[in-house]
Amino acid sequence: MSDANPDLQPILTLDRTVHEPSRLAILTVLSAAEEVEFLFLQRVTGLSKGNLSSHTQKLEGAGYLETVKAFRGRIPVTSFRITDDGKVALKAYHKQLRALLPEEKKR
Amino acid sequence: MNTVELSKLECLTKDYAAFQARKSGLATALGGLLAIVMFLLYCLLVPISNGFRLHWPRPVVRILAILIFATPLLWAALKPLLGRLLYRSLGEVKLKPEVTYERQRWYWVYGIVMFLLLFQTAALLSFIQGFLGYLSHPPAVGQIPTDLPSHWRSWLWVGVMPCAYALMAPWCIRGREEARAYSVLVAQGVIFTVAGFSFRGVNYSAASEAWWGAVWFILQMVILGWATLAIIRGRKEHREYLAILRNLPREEA
Repeated sequence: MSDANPDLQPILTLDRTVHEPSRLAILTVLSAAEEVEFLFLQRVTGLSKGNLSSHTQKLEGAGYLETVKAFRGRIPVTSFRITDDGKVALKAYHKQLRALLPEEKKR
Repeated sequence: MNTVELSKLECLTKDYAAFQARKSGLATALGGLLAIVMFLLYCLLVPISNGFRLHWPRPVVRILAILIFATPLLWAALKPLLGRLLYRSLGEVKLKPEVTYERQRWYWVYGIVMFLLLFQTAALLSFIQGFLGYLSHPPAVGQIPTDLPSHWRSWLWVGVMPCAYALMAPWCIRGREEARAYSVLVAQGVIFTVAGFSFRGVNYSAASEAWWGAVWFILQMVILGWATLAIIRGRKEHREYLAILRNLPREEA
């Protein structure tokens, strides 16, 4: 990493947990609501069950989301909620990415 | 996944959560439908004109009366049940609490409670006025109404019904649309209670009867107009909700 071009330093410091497209999509969806059920997250991101589970586990490991397990009748229902750390990380990521864009591409 | 797609994703989630919280027009459409049902049930009970009245056995009358006054509570119970039946297939998304929206919700709840308190106070004052009039000018033996127990039962509606409506309000109102529908149903209940009193032995002059009849008719026309628009609006909102569902990506094979 020490050999890296100093101009590329801001790109290299991007939070890789958030930077991955699927995880970015998951965090974006979660940031738009209070609590989101697994089924909706799966449909809206277009990910398979296995992929979604793997990404949510990584995000939970990083402390960016929390899993809420409940029962609807006898059926187990899994929902997710973005944590305060997750909100901060997503905001910081947006800020970093916007700073990296050329002036004319910033909205 | 570019930023445009992400913002679309965010909008889609927000819209879905907002629609799901309001059950995508269900509360409005159901409110409109039940307002019409209340009106029709009431028409079955009271004389529509001087020459026409349907005669029902007493238990049927009682059931119809209970149904009319329980309709706002029925709306509150039916709404989540139908919502669960119709809108759960894509998973639940809880809406973020919005301060302004939440504040408006409580304004509606307080408004309904104040209206019901005003109604109860007015009913109590009328009772006191009538009672004092009775003491100062006692009627002759032949003029005393024979169906006094039924008059007392009608006081049960004035005492209990508004309390039930008020207690249910914070529980069943989660937004403006629901508040509007619930307010109309509660207003219908109150209007029918007042109208019920006017048919229960109170002797009105022909002029005041015509005046109250006109007020009742105008109020019913307004409510029925609202109910029709609510059903149309509810249907439109439901179509918008279906459009959101269509915008969701297809499930992977």
